Amino acid sequence: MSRFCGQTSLVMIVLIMLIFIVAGLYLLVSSFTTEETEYYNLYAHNLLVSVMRAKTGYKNPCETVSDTLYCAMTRLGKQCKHLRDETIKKDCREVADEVTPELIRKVLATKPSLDYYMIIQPEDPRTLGGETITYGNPDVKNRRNTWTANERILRYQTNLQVQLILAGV
Amino acid sequence: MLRGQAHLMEYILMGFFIMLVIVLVVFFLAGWHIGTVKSKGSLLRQQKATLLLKAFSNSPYLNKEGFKEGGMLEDSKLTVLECDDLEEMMGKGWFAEVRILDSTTECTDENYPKCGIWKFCKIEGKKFTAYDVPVNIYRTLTKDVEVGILTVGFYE
Repeated sequence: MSRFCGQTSLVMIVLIMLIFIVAGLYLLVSSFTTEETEYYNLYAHNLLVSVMRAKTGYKNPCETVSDTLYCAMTRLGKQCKHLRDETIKKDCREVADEVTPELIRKVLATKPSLDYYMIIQPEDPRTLGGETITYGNPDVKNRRNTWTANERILRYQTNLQVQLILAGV
Repeated sequence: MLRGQAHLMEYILMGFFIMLVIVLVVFFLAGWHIGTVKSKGSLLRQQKATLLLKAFSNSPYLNKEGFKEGGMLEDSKLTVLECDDLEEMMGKGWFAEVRILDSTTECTDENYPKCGIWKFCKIEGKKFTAYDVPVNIYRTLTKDVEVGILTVGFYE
């Protein structure tokens, strides 16, 4: 038995070394990854609010992006005239599909590491036949690190819920 | 005699390994400490930036009246404000930039409102860390609302 005493001690020392190396590497890696949740939550919220408040370049009922989204959900077939050229008329849905993703794409061009998914739906799912408008990449919902912003478009009869999800590419 | 030497070798080897473990532990603890300090520093910078971004986008000196939730910067206010005015409120060692998407012209008293970039306290060539968020810019003359980027940074 005493013949193996030295070998056992060596194996023990090697095992302890291995445990230290693994624990050290884990702690080092975890200490270098910084928590940026607060900043990205602020970014997602500001992005959603600023896009919804932006003017579209069309007249009522498509004046702002939120007006246009509301019109696209509740007033099917309603047309909006262009501010400068009244001969240009488009469906609310057409204006929403043209302006909303374009604005988000332009803002996110300064942050190419981010991807987005936007969902617009009635607050009460029984109204409007469960109609939902979505923009962006649906895969974003299933990513591990996501930052979500929620806003409501408050209008008479039907309120809309708007959700913007951001995630790293 | 040989058995004694073998025992001695065994002890020397053990001693060597124990020393190695101690050295590894010291290196690991030092590395971990450096890593934690660096990450804390980065977190503090980021918290400071977030605070400045919120202070900027909610400041009544820059925002249009009636938008209590902030983020609606008024172009006329941005044009008349100067670095000194803002430094009185927020201290020194930082800079800010507001840029309307696709805009390339910096605003001055002469070219307003045909411009879309406002810079405050910016010193070219100095090292900095910066963070940005989207904001709205209210065009006082045309009553238009545009989307822009507010960038806030600190000099290192």
